[in-house]
Amino acid sequence: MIKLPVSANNRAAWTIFRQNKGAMIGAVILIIILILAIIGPWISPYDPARQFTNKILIPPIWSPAGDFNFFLGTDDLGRDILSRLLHGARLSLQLTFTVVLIAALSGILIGAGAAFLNQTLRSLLMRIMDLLLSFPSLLLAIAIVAIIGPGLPNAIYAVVIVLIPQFVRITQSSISDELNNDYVMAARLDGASSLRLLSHHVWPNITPALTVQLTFSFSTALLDIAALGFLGLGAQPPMAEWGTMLSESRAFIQFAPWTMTLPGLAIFLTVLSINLVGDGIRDALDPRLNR
Amino acid sequence: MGLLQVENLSVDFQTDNGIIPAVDRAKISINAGQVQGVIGESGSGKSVMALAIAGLLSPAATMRADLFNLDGHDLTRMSAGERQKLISNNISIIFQEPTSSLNPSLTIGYQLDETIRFHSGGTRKQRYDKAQELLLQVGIIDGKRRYKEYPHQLSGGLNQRVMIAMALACEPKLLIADEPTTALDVTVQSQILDLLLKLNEEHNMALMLITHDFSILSETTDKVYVMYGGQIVESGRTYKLLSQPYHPYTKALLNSVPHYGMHYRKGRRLFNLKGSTPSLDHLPVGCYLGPRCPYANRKCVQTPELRTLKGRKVRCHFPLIEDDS
Amino acid sequence: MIASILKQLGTLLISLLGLTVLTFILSQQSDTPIHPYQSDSAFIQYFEYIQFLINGDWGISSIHKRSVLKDFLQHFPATIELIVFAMILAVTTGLALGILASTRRGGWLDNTLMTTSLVGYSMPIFWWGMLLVLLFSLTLGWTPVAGRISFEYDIQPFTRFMLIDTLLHHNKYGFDAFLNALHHLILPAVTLSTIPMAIIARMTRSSLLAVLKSEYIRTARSKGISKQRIIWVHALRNALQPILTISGVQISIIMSGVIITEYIFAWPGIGKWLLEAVSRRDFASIQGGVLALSIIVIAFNLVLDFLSIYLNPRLRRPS
Repeated sequence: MIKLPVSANNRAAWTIFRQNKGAMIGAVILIIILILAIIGPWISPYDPARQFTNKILIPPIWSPAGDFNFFLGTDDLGRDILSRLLHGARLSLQLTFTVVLIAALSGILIGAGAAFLNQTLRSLLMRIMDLLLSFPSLLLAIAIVAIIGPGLPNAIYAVVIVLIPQFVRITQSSISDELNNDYVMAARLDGASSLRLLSHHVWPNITPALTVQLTFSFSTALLDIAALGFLGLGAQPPMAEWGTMLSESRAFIQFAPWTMTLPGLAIFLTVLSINLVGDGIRDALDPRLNR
Repeated sequence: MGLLQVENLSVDFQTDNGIIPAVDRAKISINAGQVQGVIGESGSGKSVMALAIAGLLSPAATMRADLFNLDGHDLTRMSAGERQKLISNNISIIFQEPTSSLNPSLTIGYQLDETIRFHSGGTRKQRYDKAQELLLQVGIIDGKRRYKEYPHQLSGGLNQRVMIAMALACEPKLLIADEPTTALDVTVQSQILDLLLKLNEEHNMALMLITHDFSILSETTDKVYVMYGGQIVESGRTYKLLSQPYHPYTKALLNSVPHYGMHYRKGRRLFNLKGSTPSLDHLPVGCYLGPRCPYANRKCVQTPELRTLKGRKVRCHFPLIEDDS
Repeated sequence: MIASILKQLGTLLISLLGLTVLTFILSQQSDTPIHPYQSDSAFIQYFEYIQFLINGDWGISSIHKRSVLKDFLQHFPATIELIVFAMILAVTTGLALGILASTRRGGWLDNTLMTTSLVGYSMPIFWWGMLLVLLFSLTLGWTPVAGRISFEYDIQPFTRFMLIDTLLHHNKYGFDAFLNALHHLILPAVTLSTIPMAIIARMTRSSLLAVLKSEYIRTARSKGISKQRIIWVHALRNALQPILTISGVQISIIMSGVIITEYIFAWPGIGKWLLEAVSRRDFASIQGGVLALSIIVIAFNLVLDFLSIYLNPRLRRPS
């Protein structure tokens, strides 16, 4: 098997990625959402918690009863939905980034550390990871929240713990796959140390798998954080978190459907664009898959 | 009597980078009971040609032929369904990788039984007896045990025998063997070849041996086609073609094989062509061998046609007739 | 074969150990101990805890003052009914769509399916459920908003499976009650089945396409076997193996989904019961619920593993 230099691989991957229509659409949507999340607090018309008590449940402006001061309407407490969505974008994405970053770092470290463990300990660790993986993620998160109590920080810890096993598994299995390759044996015969082997030979070859995992973890984290918020176990009202907003809208589905459709649409579009980009990255990095 | 006549058979593959001509106007004719060889490097189109004749091309391929006669029937005038039926009744094919050519989830017996059921039918008992008889014919003695086993439990050689038994179950008039021994151990190779030749004699079943190895063809075949870049570049009776190749490519192929007893002086090398086999989407202009051919000159940028010389067909402007013999 | 069974049992043991440690920690959060332990050491209490569990004493719920195990068993049939119905929906439709798409590759059905399945697996189930309610229940009025059956039917809970219980009341209501229960079941089941269905359809398609390219399919074609037979007998058997492998993930998705679905549709099952326990800090019920649901997941995965060994001769009979 010929290993291309990583830079050449990356260039080829970018070419494939660019030709993937879905992935490019996803990337564009994602970039727009990211920009909105960053500049959101500055462009949002009102404070997300401000209640216009005489402007309750105003529909978005495309409805005949709409009000130009409230572009996407207001909720049951008279709060501007556009402002809440923009602040929510920043909050949700910040939380997601934090969660994925912590989970990925810990997972990769544990997984790489497992490569140095002896056979028995490693297989025990992997069994535990398999166990955590086979657990329904929301059930695990609920169990963790039940122990440490509801609320946003605790929900974050729960989602981090749920995400870690995937990174451990993928790091460990890619490393052990790579270590079985002839080129690693050749490097070892040349006297490379384990650490050098890992950083110079194995790491560049497992980054594709990790990149793909990283992308999909973003959508999982976003969904799980929102789900916990929706169930009242994560972010608590009046926080402008998308899942919490959705949960608050439940009572008004019939009379004010926009309070439900808009936050949901925001979650859906973000997850969809991340998944599209993730699919694109996977196809680009490993053209053998899914083709 | 002609069993199979194919003229101007072309196969094109539709890809993202345009159309790739995998087989270019091939002409093949086989008589009943004849043994023929097709030789060429990988990518020369020999396997695609075999698949085209057996009606097994993938949907990405399109196939054209001016003439396609099989056992007295004109296949060009048939519907796809009729054609498929006629082909599967008359032609069987075995492949290079016997183990992956058998379904891993079904027993040998099931796959053999299914073939018999589709071709001759019969009661369960009759089919079982027939299967055992076929396994015995291909040299599998413990047929009763093997019948219940799965392909992964058998060696490559045994699986190839099973493939041949399945082919026989169709009672074909022509068996195409696409590199049947390449994936096998050397000692098993000759057993499989012997088996194929024995069946050819006993059943008067024509045999088309596709290979990249001249040593397999030299003693077994009556006639050989040499393929290069999707074209047949030379064809003729085996012993004549081997003793005096007309086409430079045939000569190069022959000389690239070390012969037993060949005298190696110090400094002498095996003859080989410079460069590598052209990829089918970047074929050279004119003669496809041109850039690699030691005899090429300016005329070779014109496309050479297949012409008949002393009972042989050659696609070359400068056949090696007057040259060394 | 024996080696792989032993390995399975080893995994099972580790799983149960990890699980009971987790639920033991959960049960320790309770203000009043949920079991009368003799020892003060947490280590020995753990073994006492296991003893209690095996004897069927899963603690007493702090809000309902009832046996947790009994509570669980009362709510469980509603969840099972929903899950089984949703699974059947997801597997049959997912497989059918995947097979159809792979046989007409690149056609409009294939393209539509691939797009919708991508949308399907990006869909937050809590939003999807509410959208379905908004469309089918509130706007079109086709399906009920919540619950398992309308109030006018007085159904005695014999089996606690509503579809069965309503049939048992056949002499009282005819088929009306049964149809009413089915009517209530449809929308939650569709909500729950959408994401697994999308994943199954995608997997079936790509797995089947890969198998159809393989050499043994070419062999089957050369024997003149019909297209239908090639797909159903030769291809599907091999294509199903990777699908079976991901079914373990599917059950996790369904278990997570069922909690949310029950919350949205006020479905009186385990998910709703568990969420109530969490919000009211009823630790006896939480540990019981988590324990029971996890045992179901573990059991399901175990069955799947044996099924895939059974279906794959290379695992069943190593050469």
